[in-house]
This record gives sequence, structure tokens and C-alpha cells, in this order.
Amino acid sequence: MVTTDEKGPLTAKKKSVIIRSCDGDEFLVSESAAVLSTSLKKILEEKEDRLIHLSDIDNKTLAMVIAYLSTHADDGLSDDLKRSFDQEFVSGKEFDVLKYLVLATDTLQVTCLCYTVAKKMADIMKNKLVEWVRREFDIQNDYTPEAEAEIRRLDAWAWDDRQLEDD
Amino acid sequence: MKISRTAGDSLPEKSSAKIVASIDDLLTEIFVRLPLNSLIHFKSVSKHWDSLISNLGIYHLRNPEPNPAVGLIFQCRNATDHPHDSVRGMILAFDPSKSPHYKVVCVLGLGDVMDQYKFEVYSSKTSSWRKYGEPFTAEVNFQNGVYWNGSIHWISFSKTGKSFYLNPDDDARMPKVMPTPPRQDMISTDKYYFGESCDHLHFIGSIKTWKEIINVYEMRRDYSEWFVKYTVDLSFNSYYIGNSFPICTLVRGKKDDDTFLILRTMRRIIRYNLACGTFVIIDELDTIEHRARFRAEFSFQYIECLSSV
Repeated sequence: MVTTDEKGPLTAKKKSVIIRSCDGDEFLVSESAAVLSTSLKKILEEKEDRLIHLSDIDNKTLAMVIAYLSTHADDGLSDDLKRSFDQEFVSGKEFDVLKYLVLATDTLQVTCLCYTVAKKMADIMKNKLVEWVRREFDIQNDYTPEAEAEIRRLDAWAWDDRQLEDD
Repeated sequence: MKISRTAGDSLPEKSSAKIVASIDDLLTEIFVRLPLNSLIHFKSVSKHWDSLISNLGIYHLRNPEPNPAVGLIFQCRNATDHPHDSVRGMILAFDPSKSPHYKVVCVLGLGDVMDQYKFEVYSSKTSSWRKYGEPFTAEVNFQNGVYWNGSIHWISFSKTGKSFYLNPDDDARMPKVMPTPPRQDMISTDKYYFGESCDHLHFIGSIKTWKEIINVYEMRRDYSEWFVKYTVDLSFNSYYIGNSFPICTLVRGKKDDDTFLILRTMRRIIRYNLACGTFVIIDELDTIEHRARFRAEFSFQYIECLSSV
């Protein structure tokens, strides 16, 4: 796709960029896919360099994000197909994988992917115990037992008989 | 396309959990997609989560995903009503997904002129009332305003009257005319359903008998027309309906298949699924007092939200 911005030397014709993960692997990505990430778009506007090094995104996560960007940059796909791709994209993914993904969407500023991943994480978290959440997010409980009991007491109505999961 | 490979598939050593947990914006994106119950539970994860979740309540922001009603509230009328002197209607304009502030639109009748009304708008942001435009001629039932799409809507059934809507945030402060629902669906001007669910505006005309096909109309967002959204066969006639209008409310779900009507028959309240035509009894109105106090038109959809009004 030729973009309408004719001033930019980088957008004059279809081009590719190389993106390197923190593990050192390099991925060849079409520019139309790369610019769906606000951060990559900014980098490409600012410098001629065709090689972008991402120091905090690993291979596995970067490959997933690139697959997402490439699908969404494909003009041949209908919005419906893209939506079902999104569903498929997060389905069955482990919580750990989603954590890396959501971080990558933050670094790369890919808002729509961030929402999709956040939704999936919320779906997994919604029936989990507080202890599960602390473990998954590596959070120290900084309440005293009394303070924790008190905060639960204040919202007692929300603590119904639902079965919550710890795994 | 991967063009070179220099290292294994190992994940970075930094804990992704710790980083996610340290970025409040990311946590917030997750929080606003959680059901209210879970969110309340997670206040006890840590003090930091408690403060983040508690602060959501100020700005928040209803769940950005489609947020169907999770409950119904029925108002039981007391024996006497207290008509206000000249206040003809008072409607709340509030969408917590857009703003923590709300407005209240008050409709006042001008005592000396028939069908002349003026509007005043209260803003929770400024805690003050202000006049809205010039006096306005209307033939609508102001008791029955519905907030949808940023505006309050009233419908008219008189031959000369027009249906219109009023956007309290509109700088021009001028109500606008919209199409009136098809009149052939009306047999009486006080028996109909007009309401909003999941960001859709619906209208259902009167129902004469149980053995009837009814149309559920929906308003297009550009106000171009009412179109038939559902055609419903209510011919399961084992429930005597009586003279009162049976439709309490229409509740849209996340999917079209989840949409249901709440119907009030003589002795029961029924949930009727529009897609598959199945129904469940959700309440038995087992005493005469219970039946007498329950009015179909005073039912409200309960939607989860952390804002306090």
C-alpha cells in the first residue's frame, strides 16, 4: 500500500523494516504493519535507519505481535475476519504469555491489541482468588490480617458464595 | 518473517508480572474489563490495588465492553402519588462510561399557555441549574423520557405533536425533532414500552391480546428511522394477561441471541427470550397486595458501575 503522505521519504513506496528482539532475533516486517504501532511509527518518522532494536521484547512475544500487526495491516481482510483473528489470537493463551503481550503492547503502543489482551486477562482473572492474583502479579500482601479482614467486611456483599479458583 | 536467529526462545529474566503490576495504566485497562464483584475482591490484593480500584470509582468509566444489565429493579408504588405543581418531568442524563458527571433535565409547564414548556438543566459538575433555550411547544408525555445517545428522548402520539430529543450538553440549547414510532402499532397512548438497553433505543406498541405478533422497533443512531429489530410471537397463550400492558422492559444482551423481554402477566413475572422463544418464570406475584403494588412501567435495568451519584 502506498500511503498518502508523499512528503516522507520512507513512505514513497512499499518498504520493509527489520525489528530485532531483545534475544537478538531479527524480523522482517512491512512498513504498513509496523506503523500500526505508534512507537514504531514515531521511530520510522524520525530516522532513516531500517533496523529497530527492541531491548525489552523477547522473540516469542515479538513474533506474536508482528503476526497481529501484519494481519491488521492486510487490506485484503475484512473487519469481520480481523475480529475473528483477534478472538483466535488470545484464545487458549496462558496468563504468563498474556502478561508479556500486554507489556509489549504498552512499549509498542498498539492500543487495539492492548484492549484485546486486557479483556482476555480480565476473563481469566474474574473467577480467581485474591491469592492467585497476588501470585500471578508477584505482589506482596501489604495488609495486616486485621486490615484485610476490614476491607473485606466493608464490601461484604461482593463476597458471595461463588466458587473461586486458585489455579 | 524471521530473518535471523541468534538466541534461544527464552523469556527475559525480568519478571513480567512485576512490570505489569507496576504500570497503572495497564492494570486499569484490565480492571475496567472485570465484573464488579471481582474488582471489589481485588481491592484486598494490596494497598496499591485498593487505591487504584477505589480511584476508578471517581473517574470510572463503566466497563467498555458491552455491558448488559445484570439485574432488574422494580419500583412498588405507594398508595398515593404527589403530583408536583408544574414539574412535568425530571430525567437523569448520566453515562458513567463517558463522564463521572451527570445532568438532570427538568421540564416545567408554563401554567398559562397550553402545551408550552421550558427546560432547566442541572449539572453535577457545577452544582447549578441553568435554563435551557426558549419555551418550547410540545405534545408529549414528559413523564416518559429516555436517555440514550447523549440525549433525552420523548415521543408523541398526538396527530399534531412531534417526538423530539434534547441534548443537555448541546451549546445551541435547542431540542431536535425525531421520527415518531409507527402509529399503527398504537391502540392507546398510555400503553407502550419506550426504553434503552445496551445503548439501543427501543419502542414496542400496545398489545391487544396474547395471541399476537409484535414488532420491536429500534431507532437508528442518525435518527433517520425506526426499524423493526425483532418480530416476536407472543402466542403462547397459557398465561392470562389481563388489561395491563405486559411488557416491563426489554434487555439487550452481548449478542442478539441474549435479548429478552420481561413480561408481567396476572400472577407472574416472566423472562422471555426473543431468539429462541423460551421463557422462565422469575417471580410469582402470589399475594393480591404484591400484585396490586407491582407496576410494569416502574422497572429499571441494573447496570454495574462504580460511580456514586
